Amino acid sequence: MICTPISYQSKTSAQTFSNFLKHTRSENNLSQEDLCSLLRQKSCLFDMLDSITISRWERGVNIPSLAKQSEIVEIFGSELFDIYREDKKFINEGLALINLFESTIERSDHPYYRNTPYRVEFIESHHQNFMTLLQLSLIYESNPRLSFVSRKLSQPFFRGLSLVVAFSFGDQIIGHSLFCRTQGKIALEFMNDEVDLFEVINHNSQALPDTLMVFSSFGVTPYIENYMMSVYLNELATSRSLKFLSFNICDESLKRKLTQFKLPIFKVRTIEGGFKPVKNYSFFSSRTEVMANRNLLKLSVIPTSKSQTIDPIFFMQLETNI
Amino acid sequence: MNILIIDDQRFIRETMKADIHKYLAEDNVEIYEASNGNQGIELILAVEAKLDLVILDLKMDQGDGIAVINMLASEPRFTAIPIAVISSSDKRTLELVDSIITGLKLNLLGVFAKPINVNDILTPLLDASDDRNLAHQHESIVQDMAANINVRQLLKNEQLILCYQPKINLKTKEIIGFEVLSRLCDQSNGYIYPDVFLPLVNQQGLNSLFSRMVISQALQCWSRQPLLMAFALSINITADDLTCDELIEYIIECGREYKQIHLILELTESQEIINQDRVLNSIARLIINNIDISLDDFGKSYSTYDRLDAIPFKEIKIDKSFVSDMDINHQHYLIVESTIALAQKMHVKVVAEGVETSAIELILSELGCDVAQGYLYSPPIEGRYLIDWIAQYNRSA
Repeated sequence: MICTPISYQSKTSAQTFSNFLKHTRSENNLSQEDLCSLLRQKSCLFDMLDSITISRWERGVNIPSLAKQSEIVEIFGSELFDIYREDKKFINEGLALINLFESTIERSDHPYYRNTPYRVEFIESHHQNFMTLLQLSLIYESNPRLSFVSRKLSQPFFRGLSLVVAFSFGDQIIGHSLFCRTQGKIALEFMNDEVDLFEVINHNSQALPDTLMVFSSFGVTPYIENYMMSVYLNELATSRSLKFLSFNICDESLKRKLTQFKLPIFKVRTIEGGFKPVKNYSFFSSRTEVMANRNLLKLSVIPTSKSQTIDPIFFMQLETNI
Repeated sequence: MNILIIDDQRFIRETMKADIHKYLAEDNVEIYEASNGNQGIELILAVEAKLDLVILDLKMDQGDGIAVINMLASEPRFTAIPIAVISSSDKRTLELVDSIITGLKLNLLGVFAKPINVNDILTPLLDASDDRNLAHQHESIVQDMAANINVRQLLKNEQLILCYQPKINLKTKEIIGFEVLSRLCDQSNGYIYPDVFLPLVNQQGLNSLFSRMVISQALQCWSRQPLLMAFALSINITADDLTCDELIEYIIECGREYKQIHLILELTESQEIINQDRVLNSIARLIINNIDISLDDFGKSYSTYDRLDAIPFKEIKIDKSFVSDMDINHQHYLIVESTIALAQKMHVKVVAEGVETSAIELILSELGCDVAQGYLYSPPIEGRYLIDWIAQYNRSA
């Protein structure tokens, strides 16, 4: 059964954006009328804007969609992520997605993971256990395009590939994500099966990578699943040079999750698997598309570090420590 | 589990039966047999939809496989029955049958070429029964999504954001114009795409209001930036829009007001033309007023050639489903090739959509295609990033 702990409440707290507007206006010494004419002049999305609307936004009576907010925020040199990561209430909404909060919650009945504290680590490609952990993480991965793991390849091949692993007590792997930075053009060629994974990882182009490409993302509970997603969403959010987020996956449950998050599927191809043909799904979304999506924005503001311990039940108490 | 095998060769039925029993315990399975389509239909009616699988041969005397398929499609209680088509026909015929069954919204497990490995059929069947609940939920999520969207309110709140995708001259690699792609935004979902909201816009009769908002915002965007004036502005329009006189008036007025902007209307052809004369009338008026008409999604529907004949299009756009895989799909290659040839003979500009890789770009150049559009150049770009994107493109070119 799908049960993703997404609280589909209809509104994000209006506070963050209202505060941003008030703050920006006073900092730039603008009246509501000034701001109104500035926005009308800078963007064709605000052609019909009046200062009454601005006043309503500032009072939080109603606020524009995140997509429109980002248009305004960017006029003043910031991004949505910059203002929402400062909002404690919003971060807590994000933490709720990786956490079980309610006191009535019980330890899960998963065979080897019972909502006990877990440790998340970034495994560098020169880490001594990199190959082993990569193989263990991908053991149930049905994507034939990731079958490189079975070939005898040495670690330098994987430089540039980011592997993040969640371990439960006893070092059982309970979640992972696998992604890299690359060029949009190469990502598209990979999606069309014209280059293999190594060209994506080791692209030799001089140009700066503009795309974050995800190959695998998994967690034994929806909360860990969300946490593994938050790792690369945070990386996307903090690197402004990354303009696109892309997925190339065969994992049906991840595909379902991404469509639940309202990301549009870019391409579906059928590829030959070991035993039967499998569906290969590609996603390719712009930075704005991702960041204007409330749930993805929420996940992106969850702070990450190279190694940290998370207690799903007592996360709230630990929250100040991360 | 109840399984029905419809095949005219007794030998095949017997081997399949034996194979099925290898995988499924005998007392759990009831196997019915029919040696032709008509007999199969009778059996299906007799057991009243209580079938978990129909294994169906195509070529049979006295009612072929297609007859059975049509019968299953005719009654809602039969449409959920899993079907496995087995046949010794060639690959293209099998693909055709696949698309027919999918089009009829039947529950197709797969089309299998003979000789058959029963395991190939049973594995997806057993997987599917596990997945069925999931699939069901997924569907309802998608429906909920559409149900939760109040397009009228979103339009009223002006939650319309336009993106622009460049069209590139294949010979010179210069940008020649942009196609407008619309998005709606709400508080929680980020962008909502046309495949979700356009049906709702249609249902609620908001088409012409919607098109008007798109045209107005796009022209605003263009008129604010002198740099953009050099590029043609392509906007989608439906045949339905063309039956609305006020909208046509509005577009013609816009054309007069923004004389410097090269406006192209891309007529999507997936919709039925409701009132042929009226539509032609509107098109004539637009053309007289210097607004170009482009035929969008060329090849996707049957009416294509009729329209090509009747309407003086300036441009035809080949649908991306044919272009994006034409390097590996020979049928698609042939369709693109002949469309380009046709366009050249008719002296109409031809645009290939869905260009994603340099390999496809090269093939299109060799075929003499004029213009390309697709992710290879850029995904749709938000209005505020257009100027930067153009500068960056021109630098790298």
